[in-house]
Amino acid sequence: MTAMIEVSNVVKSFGPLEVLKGVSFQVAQGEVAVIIGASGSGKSTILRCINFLEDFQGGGIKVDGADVGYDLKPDGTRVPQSEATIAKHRQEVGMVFQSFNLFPHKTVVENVMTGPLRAKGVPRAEARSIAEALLAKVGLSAKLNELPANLSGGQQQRVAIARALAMQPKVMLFDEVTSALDPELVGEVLKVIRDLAQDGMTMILVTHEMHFARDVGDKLLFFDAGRILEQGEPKAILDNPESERLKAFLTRFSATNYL
Amino acid sequence: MDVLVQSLPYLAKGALQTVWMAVVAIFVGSVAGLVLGLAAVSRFTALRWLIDAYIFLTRGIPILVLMFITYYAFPAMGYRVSSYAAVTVALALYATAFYTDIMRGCLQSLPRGQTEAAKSLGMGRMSIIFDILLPQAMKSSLPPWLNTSIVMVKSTSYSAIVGAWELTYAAKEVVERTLATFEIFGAVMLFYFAICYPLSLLSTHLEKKTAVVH
Amino acid sequence: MDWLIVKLRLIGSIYPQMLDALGVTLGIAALALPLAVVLAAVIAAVRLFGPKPIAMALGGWIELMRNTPLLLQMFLLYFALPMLGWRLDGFYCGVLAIAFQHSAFLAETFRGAIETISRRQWEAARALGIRDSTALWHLILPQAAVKVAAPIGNQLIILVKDTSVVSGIAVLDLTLTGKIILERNAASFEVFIVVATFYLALTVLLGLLVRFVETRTRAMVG
Repeated sequence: MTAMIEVSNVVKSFGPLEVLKGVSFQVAQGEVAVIIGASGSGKSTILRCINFLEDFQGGGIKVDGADVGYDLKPDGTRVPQSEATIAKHRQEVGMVFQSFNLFPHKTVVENVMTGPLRAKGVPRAEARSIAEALLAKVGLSAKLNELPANLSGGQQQRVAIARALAMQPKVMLFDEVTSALDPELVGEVLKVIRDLAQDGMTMILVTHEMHFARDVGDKLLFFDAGRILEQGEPKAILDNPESERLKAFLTRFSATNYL
Repeated sequence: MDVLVQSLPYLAKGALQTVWMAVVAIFVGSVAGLVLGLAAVSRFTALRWLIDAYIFLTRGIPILVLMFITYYAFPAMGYRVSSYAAVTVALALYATAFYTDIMRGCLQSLPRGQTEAAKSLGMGRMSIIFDILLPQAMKSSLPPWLNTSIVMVKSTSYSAIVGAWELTYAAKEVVERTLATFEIFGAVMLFYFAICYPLSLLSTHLEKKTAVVH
Repeated sequence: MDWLIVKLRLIGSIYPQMLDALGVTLGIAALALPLAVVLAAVIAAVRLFGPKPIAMALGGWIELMRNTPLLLQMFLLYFALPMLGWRLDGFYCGVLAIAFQHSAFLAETFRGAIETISRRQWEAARALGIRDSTALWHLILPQAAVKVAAPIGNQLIILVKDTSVVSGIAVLDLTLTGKIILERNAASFEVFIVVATFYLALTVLLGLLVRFVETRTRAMVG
C-alpha cells in the first residue's frame, strides 16, 4: 500500500542556510503524524514543502502518488511543474496556519466558501451549503455572517479549519495552529482536530502540545537541525527518549506542558 | 463686496475649469495608478524598475516644472494642443505617480499569510489578486488616496503660472483689475477650502476607523 | 551626435543664469524652513498648552492653510501687503507664504510628536519628583526634537519643490529663469529638462540627508 504522503530525502536551503538536510518519512492514509522540535529545526518548512509553499532543492515529495512541485524523471532529473498543476495539487492538501490568515474583508461563511468558489469554480449556492455544513461541524453556525475581527482566536482558527476542509482535501497540514492562542481557547481547536482524526483524515501536525501527540498521534517525528532524529510511536518515544537532544528538548517542555 | 458679486459669474467659470481639470487628473491618475500599482508588484523586474523610475522622476520635480515641460514639449514635437490639455496631461502624469505609489504600498503591506492561505486553497494567481489582495489594498488606500486628491485639486492652481485659464488665474485677473484683494482671493480660497476640507475630514475619519479595528 | 553637442552647448550657455537661479531657490528654502520650524513650534506649543479658544483658532488657521493652494496664499500676500503699506520684495513674499504653509503642516507633526512621547515618560519624571516644567524642557522636548528631525527633513524636500511657485510672483528662481531663457532664446522644452535635473539633484541630495538622519536618530526615538 503506498503511503498517502511520501517524503524522500528532501533538502532545502534558504540562501546559504541549509534548513532541511535530507528528510524522509511516510504518512499512511488515515494516519496522524505529529512533528515536534525546536524553532529553526525545519519542522514548519517541511510542512510548507508538502503543499509547495516553499520549494526544495533536493529529494522528492509525493502526495497520493503524485509528485509535488517537480516531476521526477526516471533519469533522476526534475522538471518544475506549471503553476496550474501546483494549484491543482494544493487543492488536495489543506493547510491551517498559526496566524489563521483568514480573509478580513470577507465574512466567516464567505471565507469558507472562497476555496470551492474561486479555486474549483463550484456554483455559489453549492459552495454556500458546503460552507454552512462545515461551520456547523466546527460549532460556528451562529457566526456565519460575522467578520473575522469579531471572533475570538479559537473561533477564527476553527473557521480556518473549516475553510481548508471545504476543499475536501486528502491531507490536512496543521502548522502550530494553537501556538498563537490564549490557553483557554486551545481546547476547542484541539477538539475539532481530534474529531477530524477520528473521521479518518490523514494529517500532519506541527505542534508543542505533547499530550495531544500522545493521545491522538499515530506517529511522532522529532526534528533537530534539519534532520529527523527520532521517529516512532508517540508514547514510546516520549516516555523513553533515546537521543540526548530529544531528552533536552523534552525537559524544556515538561515545565510548560499543561496536561 | 459688490466687486465680488459682480465677478462671481466670471469666477464661477474659472471654478468649473478647475474642477474639470482636477476630476480628469484624479480619474485618469487613479485608474492608471491601480494598473501600474499592480504591475509594480508583479514578478517582471524590468517593469517594476521602470515604474520605480517613473515615480522617482515625476515626484522628484515640482509639478509646476512638469507642467512647463508638457506645455512646451507638445508644440516642440509638432502637436498643437491647448494649454488646458498640456497642463492636464502634466497633472495626470503627476497624479498617476502618486496613486501608483499608494497602490503599490498598500499591496505590499498586506501580510504574506493572505497570499499563502489563498495559495494553499489552490487559488490561481488572478483569483488571488482580484479576490483577496486588491479588495483589501483598495480599502486601505482610501485615506492616502483622499490626501493625494486634495493635493491634485490644489495643484490645478499652478496652471495660472503656466498660462492656462482657471480659477486662480481668473482671480488674479479680477484682483489686478479691481484691487479688491481680500474679497476676491478670500472667496476663491473659500471655494478650494470647501472642496478640500471635507475630503480631509473624511480621510482622518477613515484613518481613525481602521486604527481602531487593529 | 551633433544633436548632443548642440544640447550640451545650450546647457553650457545657460549655466551661469541657472546658477544664479539656483541661488535664489536655495535662498528661499534656507529662509523659509527655519521660519516654518519656529512658527510651527510656537503654534504647537500654544495648541498643546495655551488657552482653548486660541488653540482652536489656530486649528482653524492650520486647516485653512492645508486646504487652499499655496499660489493663492502667495498672491494674497503679494497683492495685499502693499495695500497695507508694506512694500515687500517678491522674494520675501515667497519666503513668508511658503513658511506659513509649511508651518501649518509641521505644527501638526510637532504636536503629534510631543503627544506621543508616551505618558510613561511624564509619569517617570513625576515619580522622580521632577517638576512638570523642568520635565518638559529637559526630557520631553529633547526627545520630541529628535523625533521630528526626520519629518522636518521630509518637509524640506517638499518645500524645495514648492519654491517653484514663486515664479508666479516674478521671482527669478530656477523655474521662472528657465521660462525666461526659453522665451528669450526661442529654445525648446529641453531647458526645462535642465531645470528638472536641478530639482531632481536637490531632491536626491536631501533625500540622502534625511535617510542619514533617520538612521542616526532611530535608536533615540522612544
